[in-house]
Amino acid sequence: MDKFLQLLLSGVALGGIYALVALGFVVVYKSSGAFNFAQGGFVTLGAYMVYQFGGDWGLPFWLGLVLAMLAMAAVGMFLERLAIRPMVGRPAFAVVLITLGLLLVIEQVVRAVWTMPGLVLSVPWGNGRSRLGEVTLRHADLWSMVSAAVLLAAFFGFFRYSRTGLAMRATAADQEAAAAQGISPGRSFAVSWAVAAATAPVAGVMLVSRGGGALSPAVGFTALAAFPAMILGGLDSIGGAVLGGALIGVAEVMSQGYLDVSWLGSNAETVVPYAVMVAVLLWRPEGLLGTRRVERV
Amino acid sequence: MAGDASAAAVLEVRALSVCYGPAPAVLHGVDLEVPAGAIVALLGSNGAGKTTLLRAVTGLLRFHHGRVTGGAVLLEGSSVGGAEAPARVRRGMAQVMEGRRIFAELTVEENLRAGAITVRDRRRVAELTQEIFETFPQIAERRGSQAGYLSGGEQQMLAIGRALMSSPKLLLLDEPSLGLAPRVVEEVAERISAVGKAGTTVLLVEQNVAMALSVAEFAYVLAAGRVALGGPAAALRHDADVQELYLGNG
Repeated sequence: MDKFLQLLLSGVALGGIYALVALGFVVVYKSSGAFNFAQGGFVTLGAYMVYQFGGDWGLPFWLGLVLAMLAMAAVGMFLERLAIRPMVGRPAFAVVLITLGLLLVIEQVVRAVWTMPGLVLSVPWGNGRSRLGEVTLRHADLWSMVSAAVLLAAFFGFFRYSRTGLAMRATAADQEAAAAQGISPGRSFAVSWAVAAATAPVAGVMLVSRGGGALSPAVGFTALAAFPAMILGGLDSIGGAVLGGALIGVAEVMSQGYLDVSWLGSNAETVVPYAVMVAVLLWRPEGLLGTRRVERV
Repeated sequence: MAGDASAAAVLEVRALSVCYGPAPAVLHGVDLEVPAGAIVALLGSNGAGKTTLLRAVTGLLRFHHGRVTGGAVLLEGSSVGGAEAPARVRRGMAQVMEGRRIFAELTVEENLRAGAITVRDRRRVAELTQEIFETFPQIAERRGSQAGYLSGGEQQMLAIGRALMSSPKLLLLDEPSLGLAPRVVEEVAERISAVGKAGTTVLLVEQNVAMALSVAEFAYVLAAGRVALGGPAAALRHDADVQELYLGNG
């Protein structure tokens, strides 16, 4: 039972990170209908930026994190303007391929800028842990859960209650009708890319911290495990991203803890998120909370 | 006809030509005028270019890969040039699109708030919402439900209410009677008359000629991308050609 609780805690923490990354996917998908692979690159770049501001330039960690979020928001808006906006009205697969290209470019940029191997991102909570009865709470897990909860709640409120959030939802529902109300679809796209990119440094820091602090350009590919979380939850649902993230995180950690799949080769548990995704999609093709179109017949 | 040069026109369309992509032009030098405070109807059969004319006025042509190849659209005497649709809304245009195009996933109230996106003052938005709910009591009862679940008539009322949320100088409606039961068409007509009486200038595009001529003061008939006819609505109601072509009592 203790082992179960221990794994559950760790799984929920991982799920929080996946939910954050999935949020980035969902925001862009909702506003523009494009699946943004570059989100994985944003996570990598964001983590390195936090290292740059804090570890290299010696700024306080939290200040560095906020600066990285702002910088990434700018990067997101810039890339949207440069590579995505000209594609409005083109087939969605072309846009998706561009984002895949952006992912590879960003990864290459990271390799070129931070050439030194073995960089370590230090975080204020370090390797700290506390005991809660029979269960050990890693502080990295605690911070993952707290930051995911805060950001997801903030975004949910923004999306539901703010004027800009309303404009984004209207754009997602019907671009032309939104423009007819005075909403600029381009501005909605820009904001969604900014929001998606701004969440990336937080997800990046949490993933790196969870793995012990070693920075590597592969962080972004770990983050892409949020891909099944997003599909699972329903491509266009923020609540679904949270639920999907939690499910995938717990499933991944539990299978590490309980299943002996070593005969499948090392790291076989990384396949678990995709297996869960396929199982759920066979049962509910629109995802757990995804919308079936609202339509009167 | 509408072109009483002394009356200030809210909307003037001058020698407007439009084409989509490489296809031949859809509008060929259309001239049209909507005087301040008037309700003007634009009639014509399917494919005559009515919706295209509206798109050219509101700036939505680019969503359909169309472009203005000649002429001008003037709002209160000054050209809208190549301004995008949102900028034209800020200048005082609002429209009810064909097929209603409400935001199905948003609630009724959120649809109205989206219509007031150009209004920055939150209190003003709340006042406007209240006014619309008083004008359209049947959608007030459904304010919290997803707009996609409203009946066709309710959706049309919502679409009109949403357009009025920006307190427009010029309201453009594209086939508001389409797909509605006769009783509901009557109600829509009453609402449009009321909007006109309240001082908003209206351009009403319709295939339902009887309905359009019952609310409008002036009317134009568009045929194959050209203005074929124009004049006071009362005169058109008795015009032999209009009767034969559009009213079915020829």
